[in-house]
Amino acid sequence: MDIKQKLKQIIIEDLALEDVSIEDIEDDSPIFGESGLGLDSLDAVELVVVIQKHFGVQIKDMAKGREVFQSFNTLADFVQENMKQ
Amino acid sequence: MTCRMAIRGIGLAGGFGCGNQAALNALRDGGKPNDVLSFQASKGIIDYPVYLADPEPLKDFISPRKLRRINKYSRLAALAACLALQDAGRDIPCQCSDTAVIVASGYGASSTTFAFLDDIIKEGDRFASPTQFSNSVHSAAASNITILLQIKGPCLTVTQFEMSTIAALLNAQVWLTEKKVDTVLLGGVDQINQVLLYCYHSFWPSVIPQEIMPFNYDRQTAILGEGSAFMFLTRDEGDVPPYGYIDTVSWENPDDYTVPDDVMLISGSDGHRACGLQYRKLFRSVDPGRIKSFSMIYGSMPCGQMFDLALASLAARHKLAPSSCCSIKLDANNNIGVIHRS
Amino acid sequence: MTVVASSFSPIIVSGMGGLCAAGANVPEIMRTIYSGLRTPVVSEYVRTDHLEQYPMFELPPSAVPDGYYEGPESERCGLLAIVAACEAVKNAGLDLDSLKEYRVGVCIGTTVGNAMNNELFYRDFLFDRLPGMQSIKTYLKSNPADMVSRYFHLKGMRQCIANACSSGAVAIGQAAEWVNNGLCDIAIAGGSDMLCRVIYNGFISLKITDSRPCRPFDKNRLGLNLGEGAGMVVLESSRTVRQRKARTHATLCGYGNCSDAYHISAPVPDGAGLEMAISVALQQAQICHDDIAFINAHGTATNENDKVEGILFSRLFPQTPFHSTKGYTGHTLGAAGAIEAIITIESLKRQMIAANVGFSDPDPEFAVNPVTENTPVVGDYALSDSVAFGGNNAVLVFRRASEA
Repeated sequence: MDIKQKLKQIIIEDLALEDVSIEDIEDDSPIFGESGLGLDSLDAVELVVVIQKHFGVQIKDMAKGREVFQSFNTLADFVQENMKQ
Repeated sequence: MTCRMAIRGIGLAGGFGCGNQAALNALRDGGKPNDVLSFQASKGIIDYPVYLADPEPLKDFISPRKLRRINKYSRLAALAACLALQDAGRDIPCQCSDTAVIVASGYGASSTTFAFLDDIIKEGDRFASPTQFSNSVHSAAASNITILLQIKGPCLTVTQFEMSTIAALLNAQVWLTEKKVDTVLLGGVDQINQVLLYCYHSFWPSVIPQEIMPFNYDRQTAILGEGSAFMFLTRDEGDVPPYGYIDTVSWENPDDYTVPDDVMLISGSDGHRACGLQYRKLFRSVDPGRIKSFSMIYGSMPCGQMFDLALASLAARHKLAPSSCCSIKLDANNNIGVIHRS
Repeated sequence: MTVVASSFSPIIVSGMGGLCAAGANVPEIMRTIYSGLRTPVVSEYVRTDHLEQYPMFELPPSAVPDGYYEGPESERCGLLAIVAACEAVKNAGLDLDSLKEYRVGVCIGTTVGNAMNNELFYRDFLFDRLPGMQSIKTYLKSNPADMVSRYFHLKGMRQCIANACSSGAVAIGQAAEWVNNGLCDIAIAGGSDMLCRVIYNGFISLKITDSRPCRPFDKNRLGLNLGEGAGMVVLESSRTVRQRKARTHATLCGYGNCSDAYHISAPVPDGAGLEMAISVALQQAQICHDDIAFINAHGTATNENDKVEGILFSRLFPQTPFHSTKGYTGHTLGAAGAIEAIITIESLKRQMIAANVGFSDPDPEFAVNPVTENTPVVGDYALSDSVAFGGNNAVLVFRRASEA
């Protein structure tokens, strides 16, 4: 499973998005905000822990988080880059 | 002085099921543990009868999407709150600011606290879950109720173990008397988990009660229970309320309190021997025929008196018990919580 | 959504006591905040494996008679409450004997003090090390309201309020209502909370903690610093104050408690819940916004909280001096509303509010700024607000005691 798929699956499971499936999520769709999955600030900080847990990648603060969480594309790129280190 | 409170709606969720009909069935049939929790003791597995509550019916009131982050503690409270509102003929969500929310709990969201600790202990401090943390505070149930039901009035969570119900009611009474609000959505919630089971086992190693015997004061027969009981209260104004009134709520001491001699007593004894001995002393001159207990219906839990009051009110409405009664709850600190209803 | 407030008979604050990192008693706390100095520390006791260390406003080991972490940690909240209550009761001219003549209620706000979060016990449980029941027995006995009641040999009503960060203010408001409605003659009320790993890890996970000393209302604020301590007041009606010829520090004349109904960890952006609570408190005090001489804000230094308060104050109190004192005490959670009520009363008496330490650059998101130096204030009324996780807003309005 590629990173984007994995990310979608993890987010669905760990953020308890029961009514969403991997196929529903576009790679370039925003993760946050009304047009995205409808996640909020609490989900954002939870996602930081989730990413750390599954990929060992740290997001230092929410300024970085906002940048990285723009879409699954940006998130996957960030995770991929930082996993190598 | 404080006013009488009218009970206009009741909502219940516990080992007996959910809703007033399930509670009435249990009142008629007697009530018993509905499940078993297995516990790994040093000598092998022990199956403890327990009263487990299921918050699933909450999805009939609130969309599952809105519940995704909400823990069982808050769900049970929200379920009983919705049932009470429905029973009182109120809208769900309320969308109001003239209703207060008061929640009483003994151990709070203990399961969520332990889940939070699980991540920290097993994975490390950096893996603490902010969602678990936000929901692990005692106030999570009250907060979630205000959010799910859009209630913008005053909100309070009280925690005083067995005196939590009295504590909550005293505040409700004050708020209604002062007309701070016109209605109060008041309830109690407690949950059980393996840690509490472990504590039970450690305190009473060879005791695995199959049935609560609230009047067998010499024995440890408490059975752990979880659930939530809510009531929708108003001032004593307007139509006669379907469930009667809470006349007085008081905090008493064994030194200077004698039980009333002209009403049915609802004993808060729930099989815990330590309190059992105190109940025996308090009721020593009372004809046993005048004392009832409801703990076999919902189990042993700190906010049990909330169930006693709700069940007594439900029973009175359906002529299963007299309208006038006095609920008495003791704690380990020589406090007595007394509620007179009619 | 407007609300019409109920009436509220003023209740007298006849005694005060407190301890936190800013001081071991109320005079010391006030000296510290007027000095502009603060010393948050990286804790020796609350240790974690985070890469970054977050300073906290920790009490010195001498703060509690039995020592710092001796004995199971869950007693600490109660012990801190007792220390503050002792100062308050003495300050009110009461003692064990005189308290017996009255029906005394105890109302204490806390978050850690009633949580089953003894980590050492749970760790042993999790790893099948079969922990003993001693810490559970302690937990069952260490409800802070029970501990304070036992200490003063009180037999009356007592309860702990668990309203997260507004607990201390709510406890004071509730206790005042008890006295007003004849549930007790005198109330000992306030809040108490302690630092521990669960709280530390929890707030860090929310990413609302600053690794430097906090900067309430500053444009570059990064979050809060945690703190611990207790604040307790003695509340009674004018009748018993006259009877006892007790002093009046101030009068509590308004108590607003309203819910955002918005989110479990973020305040509603338009501050509607806080605005409603302010409105209720002002109506009860029978005053208007302009009568408020100053505000002791919740001011945790988180991005969201300070923005909500800043925007609200800009609109409702554009000319009113305000400060956050959490730069001196840290965020003491369940104790905060009570410690800040005491600071508000003391500031009202002295007609001077302390500088909002940590603030230097104005935030363009709101039009008002906190005071940057000790500032004289003129007026009889002050407001202290507390904004809790889960959306509870508690507001207390105090009136200065007239000169004797």
